[in-house]
Amino acid sequence: MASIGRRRFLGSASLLAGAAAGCRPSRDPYSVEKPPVPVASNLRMGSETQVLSTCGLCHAACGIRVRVVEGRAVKIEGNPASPINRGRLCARGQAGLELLYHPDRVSGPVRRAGGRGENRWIPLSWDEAIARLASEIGRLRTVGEPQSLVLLDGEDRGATHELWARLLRAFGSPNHIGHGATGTGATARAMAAMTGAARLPGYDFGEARLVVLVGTGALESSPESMHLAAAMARGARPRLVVAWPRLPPSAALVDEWLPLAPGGQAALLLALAHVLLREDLADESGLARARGFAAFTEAKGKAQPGLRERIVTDFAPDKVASSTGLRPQSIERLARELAATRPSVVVVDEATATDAAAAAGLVLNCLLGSVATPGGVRLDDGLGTPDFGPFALDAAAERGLAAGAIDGRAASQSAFESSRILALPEALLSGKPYPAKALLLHYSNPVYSKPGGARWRQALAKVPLVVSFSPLFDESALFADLVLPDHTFFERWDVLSPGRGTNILTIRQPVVQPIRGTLATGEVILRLAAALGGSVAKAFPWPGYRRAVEAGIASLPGGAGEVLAALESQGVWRVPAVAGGAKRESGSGAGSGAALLDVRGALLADAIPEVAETPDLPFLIVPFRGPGHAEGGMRQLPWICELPLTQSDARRPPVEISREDARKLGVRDGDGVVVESPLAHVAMRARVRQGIRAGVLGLPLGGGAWPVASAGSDPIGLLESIVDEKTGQWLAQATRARVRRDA
Amino acid sequence: MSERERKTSTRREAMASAAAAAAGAALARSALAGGKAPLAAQAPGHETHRFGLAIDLERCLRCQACVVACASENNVPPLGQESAGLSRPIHWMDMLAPPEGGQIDGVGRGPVPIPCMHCEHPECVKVCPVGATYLADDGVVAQVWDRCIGCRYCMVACPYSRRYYTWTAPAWPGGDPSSVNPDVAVRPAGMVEKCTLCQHRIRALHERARLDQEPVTDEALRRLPACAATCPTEAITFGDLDDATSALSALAKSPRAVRLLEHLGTGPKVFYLRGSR
Amino acid sequence: MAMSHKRHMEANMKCISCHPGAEDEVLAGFPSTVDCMDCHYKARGSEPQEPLVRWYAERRQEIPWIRVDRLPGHVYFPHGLHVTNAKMKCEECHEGILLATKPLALPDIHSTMEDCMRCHREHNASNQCKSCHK
Repeated sequence: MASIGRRRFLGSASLLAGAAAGCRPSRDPYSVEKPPVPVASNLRMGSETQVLSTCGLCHAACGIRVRVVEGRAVKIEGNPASPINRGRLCARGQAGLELLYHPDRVSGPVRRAGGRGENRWIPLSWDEAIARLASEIGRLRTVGEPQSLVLLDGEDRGATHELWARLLRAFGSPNHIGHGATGTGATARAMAAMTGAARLPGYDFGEARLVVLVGTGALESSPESMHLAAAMARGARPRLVVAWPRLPPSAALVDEWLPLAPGGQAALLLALAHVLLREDLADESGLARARGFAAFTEAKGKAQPGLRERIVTDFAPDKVASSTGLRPQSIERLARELAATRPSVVVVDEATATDAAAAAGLVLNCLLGSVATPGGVRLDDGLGTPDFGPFALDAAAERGLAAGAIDGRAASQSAFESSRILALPEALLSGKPYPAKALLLHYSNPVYSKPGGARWRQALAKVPLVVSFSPLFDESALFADLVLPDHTFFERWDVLSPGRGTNILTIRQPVVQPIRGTLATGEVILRLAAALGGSVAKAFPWPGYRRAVEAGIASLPGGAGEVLAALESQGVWRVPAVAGGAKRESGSGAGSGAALLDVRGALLADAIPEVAETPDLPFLIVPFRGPGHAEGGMRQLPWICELPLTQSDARRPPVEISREDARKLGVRDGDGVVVESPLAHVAMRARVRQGIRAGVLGLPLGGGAWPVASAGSDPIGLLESIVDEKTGQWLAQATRARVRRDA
Repeated sequence: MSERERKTSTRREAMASAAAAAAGAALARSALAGGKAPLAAQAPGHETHRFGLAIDLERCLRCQACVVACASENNVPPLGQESAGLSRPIHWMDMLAPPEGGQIDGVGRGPVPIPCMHCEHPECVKVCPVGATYLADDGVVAQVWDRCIGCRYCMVACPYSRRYYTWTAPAWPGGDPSSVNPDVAVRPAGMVEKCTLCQHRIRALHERARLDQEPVTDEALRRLPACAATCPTEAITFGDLDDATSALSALAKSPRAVRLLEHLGTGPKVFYLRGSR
Repeated sequence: MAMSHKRHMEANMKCISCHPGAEDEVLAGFPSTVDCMDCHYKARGSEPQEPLVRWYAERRQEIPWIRVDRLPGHVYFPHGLHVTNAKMKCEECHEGILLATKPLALPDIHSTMEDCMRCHREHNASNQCKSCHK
């Protein structure tokens, strides 16, 4: 809002009288004919204002308050009204200014000149760009192949994501593909099966007395790290136990580290459940009616022992000693501690969980009575997903949707969270089940961020039309034919639902006028739909993105008007407690919380292949997202690259190796080494550490060269695209490697 | 007075005051019988403050948000990959990192955030030949950027190594200085800079209080500097040690409170609250 | 835009009606077109450029005032404290503009640091470097 200063003298008395005579209650200063008065008063010299918005550097969606001086953003702080960060902000949020004013931002829509990857571009106007895109993909519909349009969508919620989903359906493509397979997909699927909705959980760190972290995101850069920090800011200090092959540098706060073997998460969780059941420490009421907990019959008629029986017979701590790499006594002690120190909760990190682990974690929390109770797992009640209403599909769309997804999802697994992005390179290269003719990249940079290395570049080469919406020229955008750059989150308007049990909506508002010729992708979708015409256009009746979002939230209690008023004044709107049938039980905590629906996912623990040790590849790589990791990596944020604890610039990330292994290899801290996997070899510097298990290499993600090289030797190129066949989830810790000193 | 005369006279003034300060400090120290230097008593009849920080290591996540917030607030630009490799990046709020598993004397497990200590007996002030740094009446060891000649004696003198030489002219990525904070001067190459306890924020708060005719509350001070404001766990607390009711005073008296290199008698005003783990 | 301060002062306007920050902000600020329109929503006076105010207003634009008094980046001068607490008059520093019939092309403030410090000494205000420098 304008900072006009506290006192305004409205001219001499006579003038005031004259004005008052013809004056109406709401004075319109701009008027000759008295129309309403908007003014970009943040452009007034010396003026300063604070704009509330939402950070977009990770999925925590912290509220921010940006100080804007004369139309320039000069400092980002937290929004005190947001219950997520309560006025505080992490390192990445602070570095956001480097994204907004990044020199390598795409200036406006461009199309490729010359060959792919040559980095030569011809500017277009937005009208031209959208018309061009509409005509190219419109053709796919005309020839009856709408399914050959593929969208990689890096967002898994929000109005833009929902509009993409709507566009693809109206268009007739079943290929709205998310990145869940290398991230939160397993957790989303487990939640869908067990709670009825694919909504990621949160955790009540404020009340928990013991927190077991399976995965280190909560101590580094996952959204849970802000939730944990906010709880600690209020004085919470739960006992922290980490069970993971690697301990992050914030280990000073960790009370105990169990050096879990890579790939052992599900086994550990089920072994803990075993001890609870065996020693009668478990609360089974939440699982009493869960499908699969007791014996059940499969669809094909085959009888299966239920999860309970399987836990008891197959997951005793000593039976899973080799999968977990932990002594049975440690597991037993931890289980008893979990039972004795209530409330206790087990956090299976959403970004690194396998399907079995995510499911087992929820089962374990249920046995601890820690689902939807104070100190336990927090469930989302789901209000806030924009509801754009029904729309009609035409015959072309129906046919396209019936073609089946290109990533090999079964028809019964068509939900977004079941996307199998890692199947895409082979699908694109082989042209099976059908060739892809157009690939749209929204919040997606698979050439950089997906395992499987060079395959992605080869696969993209097969697609005739590649379009990126990235605001920066990243590796995938360099391969594109068209770049239609999005605003950064500082320049967009939106209403977001952070989820993870926060049960709020937050606003995103333009902090500055767009500093380049970019356009919000949400707007582009609407214009694209209009240009495509027909039933597609009819599905998008709104004149602009803001109107669409207002329509999408109209059904919320209070209606769009009230919600927006709260959002504009505070930055946050809290979803009111839903009366009756609420899954969200906050505070009163009587009883053991929510019941789970279907726990068969935990049985997938069997499906994980044992990755056999080979003498020439003795190490397993454990990739991690360190504390500076931001959306899209952090190598484009110089302050983050130069953080003191990184010890070497993040643009050249080091590989972590245990002291034991370093000694055996004759490697000292800082030495150059070559890490070699079946896919690639990369020269890196060694970081010799205590907090890493022997036989494991810690590989930081998100670093690498900037500006991007067109043929990268980024560390992620080492990682193989090994997946759980049943679900498509990436088995992140299954790549084997060897290390030698770089002479 | 000519420009040159004016500069000389102010330099003389500055040196005289620096000498006086040094003499005063030496006197104060010589009055002590070795061991811990007690915090200096307040001169009567003159409103002063003694601003300092407390850093609670039970809460510190080592997330380095404070490092970036400080750089953003105080216009400390990133240096680029080449300079980063030469250990030149400037971090007014830095991270003191012993070898992994190692301890910092008295403080405990590292790494820990480490800003300027804003000593009560600052070594840097004593050695500055031009009076470019001085102990202000509110306890902040302040600087006059334009006087600094870049001799770096202060860097040598500081036992905590919390002073940084600007090797390069300030350059923002892409040459775009839009995100520069107008409340903090941009420093040229060839001089020394360090944490100022966000003195511009302290000043703004006190001026606002004077204009509104309201007192400055400890509440308003606790999260005032950029580091304290951003810390996600509120591990950093700012305040006035002269205010016995302040949160900082209470934390400074905690049995968990320690200061770095106390035996040197510098009188640092940054208190670390040891973790119990 | 050829705005005459002299004319506005003759109309008995106070400085803070257009430069509202002078009393309690750091920078005095400039009026927004909204502020000018308080009076200039209809024609006033006979200056040939006066209709420009309404021209900008119709286009929802700010009048692009050119700022000539600009302190160096390392100097901090809070108007509020000086005007409200120290009870200084605007003309003590800004004498030149008040008599001007058209905007100035060059700064009109000629105080030096010595002048500031002298006044501070006399009035017992802080002469610590950091009080006025960034």
